[in-house]
Amino acid sequence: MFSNWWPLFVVATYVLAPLPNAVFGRYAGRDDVMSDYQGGIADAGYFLTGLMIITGFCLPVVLAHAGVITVPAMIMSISGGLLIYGTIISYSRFFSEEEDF
Amino acid sequence: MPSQWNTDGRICRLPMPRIPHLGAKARDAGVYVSGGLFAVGWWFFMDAVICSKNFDDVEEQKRVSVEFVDWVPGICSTLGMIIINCIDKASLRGDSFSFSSSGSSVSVTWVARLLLFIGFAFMAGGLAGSISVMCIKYIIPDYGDPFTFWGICNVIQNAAIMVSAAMLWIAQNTESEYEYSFGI
Repeated sequence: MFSNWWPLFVVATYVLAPLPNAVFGRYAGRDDVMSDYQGGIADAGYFLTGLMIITGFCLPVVLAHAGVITVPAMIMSISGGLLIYGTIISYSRFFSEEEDF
Repeated sequence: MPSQWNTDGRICRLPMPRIPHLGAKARDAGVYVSGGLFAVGWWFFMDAVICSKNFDDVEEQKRVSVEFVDWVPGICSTLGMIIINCIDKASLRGDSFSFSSSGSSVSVTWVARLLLFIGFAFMAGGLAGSISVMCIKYIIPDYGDPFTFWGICNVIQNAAIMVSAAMLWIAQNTESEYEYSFGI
């Protein structure tokens, strides 16, 4: 369980998960009032984000099933992911409500 | 009764169930869930592949391994999903407005529907292929416990990709504000 650095790959998915949402949402013109909104490009970002989120949870399970990491490491990795996504979601909800005047 | 139904140009006697209009939030959630299902499907398959590779050097009683044959249904399903979701949904309606201004004989609608058919054929072929691979390669020779699971993983992968494509289709079809239904 210790000195085994495979679960650190999960962190990469946590970093990459909100990225397509932001990039594609900006490109689709959701923030800009003047340009017309293109839903297909934003949907591609949502799709990639959902894929990354589930990848972050599936990667420890697959690693544990393959015997690379132990089951407690898998549980801790998944709970860490839940904590991170809970933080991101609550943060964005809290601050988007403040901006909404 | 038939005259009432035939007024809007419907072919089938039974009316298709109208896809309910979702709000913007439910639409986005549908796209998220679609991406998640796609990831779940591929990770099930990756699990099978990794377990098969791990069997190589651990034990000698390995009877079957995941080969390229097992990859083909998933690739077909993914290709079909890409084809289906690349089609512009507005070009499937056809009778509202035509894009072919130069008077070409092949209409855009016809090509779009042909592409839709090819995409669905790829996806259905992927699912059927995964089931046949599971039956022929894993169940009929009756290998033991971990080997049958690899075949089941293949079916789960293709089913998840198919449900993901359907969910993405439904979510994208509800994006327009005006009433919009397929009377196929």
